[in-house]
Amino acid sequence: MRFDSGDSTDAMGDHRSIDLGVPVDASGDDDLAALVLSLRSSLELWNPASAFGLPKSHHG
Amino acid sequence: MGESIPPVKYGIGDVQGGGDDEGTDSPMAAARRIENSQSQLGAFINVCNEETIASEVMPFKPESSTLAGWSIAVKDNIDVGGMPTTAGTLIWRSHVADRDAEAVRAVRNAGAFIVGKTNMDELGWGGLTDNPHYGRTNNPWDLSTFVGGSSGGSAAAVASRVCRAALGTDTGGSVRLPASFTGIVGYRPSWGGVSAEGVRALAPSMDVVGALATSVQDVDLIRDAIRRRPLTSKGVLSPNKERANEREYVIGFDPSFLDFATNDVARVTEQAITSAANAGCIVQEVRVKEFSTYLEPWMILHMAEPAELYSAMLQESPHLLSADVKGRLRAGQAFTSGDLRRAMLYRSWFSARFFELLGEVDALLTPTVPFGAVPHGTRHIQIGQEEHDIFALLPRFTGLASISGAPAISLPAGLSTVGLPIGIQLIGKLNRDQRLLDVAHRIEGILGWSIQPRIVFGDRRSWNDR
Repeated sequence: MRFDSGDSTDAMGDHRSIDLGVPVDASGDDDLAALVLSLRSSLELWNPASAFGLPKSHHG
Repeated sequence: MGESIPPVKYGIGDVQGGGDDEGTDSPMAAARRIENSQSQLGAFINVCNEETIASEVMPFKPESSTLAGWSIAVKDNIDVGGMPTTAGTLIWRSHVADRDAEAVRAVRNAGAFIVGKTNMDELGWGGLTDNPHYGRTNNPWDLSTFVGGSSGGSAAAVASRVCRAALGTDTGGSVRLPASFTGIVGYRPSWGGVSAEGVRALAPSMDVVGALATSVQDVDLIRDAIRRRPLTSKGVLSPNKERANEREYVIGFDPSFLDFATNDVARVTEQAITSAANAGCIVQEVRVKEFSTYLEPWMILHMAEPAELYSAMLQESPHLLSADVKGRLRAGQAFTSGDLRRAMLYRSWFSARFFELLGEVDALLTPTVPFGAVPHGTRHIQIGQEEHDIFALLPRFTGLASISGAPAISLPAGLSTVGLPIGIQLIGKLNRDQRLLDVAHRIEGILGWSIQPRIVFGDRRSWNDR
């Protein structure tokens, strides 16, 4: 297994969405929805294909 | 919310006086200590009375048993036969376990007696042990400060010498966080290293049964009792086993961790590193590059797994759940299967990189928590120029072991400027728990911690080994 220590990690960088004003113990629907979106968008910055070293070309 | 539900005594008869007898602990003395402590600490949800405890331990196990005569409290999400396992909920308030959890059975077989079931966050979900149904547990160092959680009742009971040791569970730090806030030792085994049979799950891919005590030696003896063994194993190890010491230990440390800590925590952590180096340990600087990114996928797993587990409970009995837990369950349900697949992939990627990074390092040293105990009701912590949500800070360091499955231990290391304990965490390699405990024993000896809280109910020094 090969790990790409480059883009995938740096892409998330210092992005710390959970400290950006969304209360983690939120109980209001709007706050909770914002928390879910925040966590999801943070994880979407991570590229699993790149992290696991898959070739970028999808053609033969 | 109305008044908290008071503890119920299970068994017959009432507690009748008693103290530490002839250099050993006793069921009578333990029951008395619980009764004396409860109004101040609120550490127990339900308790065993003296006769119940005594009936469990009579006749005593052979004196060679490693935990003979130990008083042990059990977090209330772990089954003790004949008592309810509430998991801090109203729903299971009267749900009596018909037998002991595997870990409870193990400590009893090693000679310990169970004294009661300890307070916790509802479902084990939280870091404060401020339970909406059973009340909050106070920190014996300062009753106006929180104890941490979710195994906060177990930590308060051990720190205040109500009992010699306790079992807890740790998903994101629930053993290590309260251990740090109360100046005791809290050990999280490698994931899967201890049977989870008879334990109410929260996030099963990260849940483990752990131990809290006042020394690494005590934690090590409990580990010997509760750990899974190969089929060929022959029971409890000798408490006086030789410790591996073929070379000095290598301690990994990432200085950037301290950017996430208060000045007090940074000072105590730096002092611990310096002391270890001065004593001959090899301190190796490492860079945990993923430290700034791992918490979000950890949080997704930590919310989505309970949401799936407790979806029926949320649907059928929402009136019996607190607003906080209902909100978290609903939030957890909002994650998609794609979110979960990505989070699980991240965990695999992170874990492999993390263990690769450890390399020759015996243990990675971090603060246990970015801050020391703070007053009840605190929701934000100032670190540098930034104000942080307390729930985002609590798992900042403990989550490293939780997401990777690594064993970890919190050791008391110093005091804050207001005199409250601060812990450091050592994280070991997967399934190398004994090595981790050996390192912890060495660091414990170097640090020489011997301070106890202002409020105590027993004398640990009088509970000699049998």
